[in-house]
Amino acid sequence: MLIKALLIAAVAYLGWLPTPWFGGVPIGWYTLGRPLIAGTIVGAILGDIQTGMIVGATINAFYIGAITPGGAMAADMNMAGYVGTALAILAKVKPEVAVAMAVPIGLVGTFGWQAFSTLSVFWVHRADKHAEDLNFRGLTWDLMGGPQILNFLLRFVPVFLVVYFGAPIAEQMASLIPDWLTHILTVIGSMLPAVGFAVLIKMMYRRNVVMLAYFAIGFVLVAVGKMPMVAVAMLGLALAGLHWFFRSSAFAREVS
Amino acid sequence: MAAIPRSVTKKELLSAMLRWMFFQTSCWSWERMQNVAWCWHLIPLLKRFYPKPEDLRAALKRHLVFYNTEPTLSQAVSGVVISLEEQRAAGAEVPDETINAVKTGLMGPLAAIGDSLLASATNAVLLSIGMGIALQGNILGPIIFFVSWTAIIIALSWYLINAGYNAGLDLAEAGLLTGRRIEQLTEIMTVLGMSVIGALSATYIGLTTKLQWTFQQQTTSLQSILDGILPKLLALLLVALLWWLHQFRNWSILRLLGLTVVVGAVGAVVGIF
Repeated sequence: MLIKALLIAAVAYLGWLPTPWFGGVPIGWYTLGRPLIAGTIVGAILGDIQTGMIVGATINAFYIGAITPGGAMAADMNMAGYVGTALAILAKVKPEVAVAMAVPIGLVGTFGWQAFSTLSVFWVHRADKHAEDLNFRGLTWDLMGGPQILNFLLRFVPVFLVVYFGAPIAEQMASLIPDWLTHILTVIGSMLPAVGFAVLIKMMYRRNVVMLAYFAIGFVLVAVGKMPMVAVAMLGLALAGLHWFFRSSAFAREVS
Repeated sequence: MAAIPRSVTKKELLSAMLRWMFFQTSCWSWERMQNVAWCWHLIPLLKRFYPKPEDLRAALKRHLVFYNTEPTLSQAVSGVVISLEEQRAAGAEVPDETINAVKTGLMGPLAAIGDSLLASATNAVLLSIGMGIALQGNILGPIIFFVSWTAIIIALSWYLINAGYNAGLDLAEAGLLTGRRIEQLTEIMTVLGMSVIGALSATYIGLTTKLQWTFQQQTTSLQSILDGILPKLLALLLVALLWWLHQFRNWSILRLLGLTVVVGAVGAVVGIF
């Protein structure tokens, strides 16, 4: 059972969002991360493919169409698929019950993602330094070394513990994470994109002060108008056309 | 006019495609999202384009800014940017701003299109077919889903990175990467890019305040007052403050990060956020 639990946790790590080794997000997360595939693999490891596959398909029905736009983790379907199927087969409960049992462990998973995406800022700044020094080994480590050790611990360990020791340990783990820590990570995570945008704005502002106007338009369209991004981009293109038209006619007047 | 170089081989495009496909989320952070992977996936090509260390250093730093989009459609942006870098290295006057503006302008719409068309629609449809077959107890269900999805993703990625690279060459051949033309191209992409950053600021910066007070049994929350002025006002103020410090007070990114982390942590502990 120890080996089986280790195997399940390892595949869960391979099918997790930031894990690169199985084709990254496009392949790993969109195949191994889906409960249908997760259930089948867990079934194979536990010696009952048939049940695993059916449980996986049932769990998957809860998450159909769920995506992770811009890294916002709505539902940890990787955890639900791997842990849910394992619990369903080992504890011989219905898939619906198994999903409910996997909910507390889902909280641990969401915390793991929040911790990963906030703490990996450390390697982002190491990468700035390594680029300055032309240290390519350093850059490679910043991408797939440090962050992946963190990511492995945050995914492999909780999945292994729950599959090996059973569902009750999930609640103990969830209670070990203090609310204030989750809250701090969430607040900082919600502020950090502003740093990235501030740098981009500085680069674009350099061209022309009027660019701030287009920032304001894009901001208000989404903040107030809740407009979808494709619509904003269409308006952005239209504005770009007008901008070009008026700039070049102003230019033509100047020379005539 | 110098001949337009087209030196990037299929092998190099394939390598860039795979480097991005595998690693694009490997160091994903809230600060600059996919930036480290973006820079890293271009390293072999940048090394070849820029033999001088100072040019290479500038190129690496140019590609460490904020970037985030749907990973598969992003292959088209890779193709265009590889082509722009190639032209630049061969002597075309492609400024930093052009490359930034192209990336920033494209990433927003591609993320939206990719998330809905690929992730929501295509993946969900194939998944539903697979689930239907699996529920009958047939192992072909998961296999059909896995094989069809993977084949679509690999074929689409390969098509897009090639199409992007050729589109970049077309720009060069049409004479759009010289003098006044590149000025105009950059200007247009900057307008699009700035509206995208504005939209993303309102989407991603989720800062809200928890402050509230009670006066004559009436509880008022500061957030509802702020929402009455402008929804997402705190997000706007935060990005404006950080930009101002960066632009006019010469604060480094590291200091901006430090300020954000301290304000966020203290604010969260004392109950402001």
